Amino acid sequence: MASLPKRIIKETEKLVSDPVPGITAEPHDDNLRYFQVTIEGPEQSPYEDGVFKLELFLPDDYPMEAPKVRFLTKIYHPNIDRLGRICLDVLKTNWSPALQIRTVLLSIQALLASPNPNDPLANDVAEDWIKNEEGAKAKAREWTKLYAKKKPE
Amino acid sequence: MSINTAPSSPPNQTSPTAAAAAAAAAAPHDHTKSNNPIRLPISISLTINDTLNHGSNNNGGSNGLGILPSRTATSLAMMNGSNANAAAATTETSAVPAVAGTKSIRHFVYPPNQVNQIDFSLDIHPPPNTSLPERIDQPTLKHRMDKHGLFSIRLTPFIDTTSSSAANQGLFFDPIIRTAGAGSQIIIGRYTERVREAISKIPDQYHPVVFKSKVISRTHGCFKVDDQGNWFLKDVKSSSGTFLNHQRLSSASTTSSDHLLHDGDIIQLGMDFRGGTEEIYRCVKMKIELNKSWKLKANAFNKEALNRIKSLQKLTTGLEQEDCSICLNKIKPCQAIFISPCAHSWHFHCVRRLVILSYPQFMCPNCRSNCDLEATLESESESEFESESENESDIEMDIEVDTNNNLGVRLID
Amino acid sequence: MSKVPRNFRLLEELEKGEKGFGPESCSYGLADSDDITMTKWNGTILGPPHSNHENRIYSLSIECGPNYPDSPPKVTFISKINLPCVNQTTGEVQTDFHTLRDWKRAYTMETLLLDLRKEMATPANKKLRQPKEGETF
Repeated sequence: MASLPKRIIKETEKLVSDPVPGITAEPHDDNLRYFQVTIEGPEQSPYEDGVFKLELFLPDDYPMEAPKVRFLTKIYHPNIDRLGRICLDVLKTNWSPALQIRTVLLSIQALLASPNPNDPLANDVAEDWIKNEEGAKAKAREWTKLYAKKKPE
Repeated sequence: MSINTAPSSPPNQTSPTAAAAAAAAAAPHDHTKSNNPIRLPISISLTINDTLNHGSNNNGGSNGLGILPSRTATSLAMMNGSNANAAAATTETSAVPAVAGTKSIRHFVYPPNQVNQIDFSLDIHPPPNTSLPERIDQPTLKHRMDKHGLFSIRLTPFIDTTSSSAANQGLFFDPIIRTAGAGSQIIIGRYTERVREAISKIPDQYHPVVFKSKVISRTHGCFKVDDQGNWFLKDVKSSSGTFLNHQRLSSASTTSSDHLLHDGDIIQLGMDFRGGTEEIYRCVKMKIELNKSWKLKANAFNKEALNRIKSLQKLTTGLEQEDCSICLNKIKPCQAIFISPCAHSWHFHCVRRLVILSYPQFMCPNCRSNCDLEATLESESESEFESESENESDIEMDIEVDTNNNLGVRLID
Repeated sequence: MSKVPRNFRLLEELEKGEKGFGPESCSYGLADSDDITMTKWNGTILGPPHSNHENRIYSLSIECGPNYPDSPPKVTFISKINLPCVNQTTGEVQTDFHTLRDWKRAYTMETLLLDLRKEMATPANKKLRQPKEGETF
């Protein structure tokens, strides 16, 4: 296996030594480009008190190519589909090599705080969100309780 | 946490120690258990029968080439002065009288700091009525060595910009760097499968200098370095010649004397065959740089220039940004840097692909501003010129009103 | 080349299948679009021409376990088919079928479906008597 680029090593070290509040990211032992991620639901959002598991992979061409990220925890959100795929511009067309793992994860956390039903990935959820925002938020809170419970410490 | 298992690359990948360590790990046959961090000396004997006439297949027809067992090589290094002289002399004499048939010459790279053990003057034969350069003092000598006490030589393709034709550009090759201790002799020759096999276990910086061209003899010439870090070039009966600054060192198939090399000298090996249109028939033209002279050292100007870039960035973006946002490493003096019109900067190496990707459009990865890398300069110089010539500016003004309202209004004022 | 982890590899395959970038002679997709583990898949193979399979559409189920793509998936024919590499009572493709036996990480579900289709068209297999169309295991 080709050696890990210095940039990835640097990013990983920084994630450990200077973690982002509410976010953890650890590489798998057998694949240092593959990270296990958790993001805490932002306060005052329907995802508050939830801890969401994600997986992140840095492809060969990283940082010229964006990291690949997916939710492993079920989440009711207009920009996240049933397989956990995320519709977020910085992960697609708006990627820039000046972005990093930490900035990407922060963007995802921000997406949880402010869903964008006008640019949906999960159409049914988005429809629900536009028609009945309170109802949709209630469902998101319910799913958070059901699937994203904080582990008892 | 698995970060500890991340392979952290050594600070300097090309440092001889690292390379030698890697080589040592890859060489299970090393019985010597030497504590020398650099596995030197290295000695390869090249016995080749391509003398006077091509295809002459007389006695001693062994195209033998082999690495001496490392024990032999080590014992060579441990020999005291007089013995080593004898060994060196033997190599020389065995090469000289090989008038017809076999030509035997050895590639050997000595470790550093053997200065007191061998008298190298015996080994160097400068051309008649020239003399060796005067001996230099210790600090100067130290300056010529790398941190491991080795001397170095770098060969880069010499592109003759005065000749316009595409041919006669010589063979292209990646820069070659060799390091060697005092008294070493580095073979110049043709790349063959045998050579490749023989050197596969040796770190690159101790390899013979070989080229994939048929106009280069199998053993064409050699570089020698003395205890002062003086480098010499010698032709060892090449069939198509060795040229130092356009002068041929010796006539076909005769051995030349040892010619002192200077920084910036141009060496040509062989001559183009069949017009040199095919890569394999091209001669090799190369520029010489000696004893790490090619390494840039940050001087006051370099540091000042970098500081200016940083303060420019501070002015325009309000941020001080020292790291390259692409590789996350510091931007330091003497590195090639690309500065975008929005005053962000990266190592050129890091940003190159982004620049090429959509050239001349460039989107700053840091602030996402779009710039046209071709346009800006041109339009500015034109507008300066326009203001001096009234007639033209009238015409231009009409066009500008159509295409760019703001500019048109300004011009009428 | 770095190793693409299972889930991202399956997402790649899913995208290729969804967008129809694959060949026309076979298709595949997630059996349950809610299954975040992406284990169970459906596949179809269009019978190769000039054989007894011509114009038939075979459905299969594919199971990509946790070790996919390091280990091959489990493939089972749902439509009845008479092939030496297919277990005649369960419909399962035998693990000694060459693509499964010599599985490589670079292989995909598409590789597997196309190889099965080729298997149907070999001189030895293309004239095998086939059960009535529409029957299932």
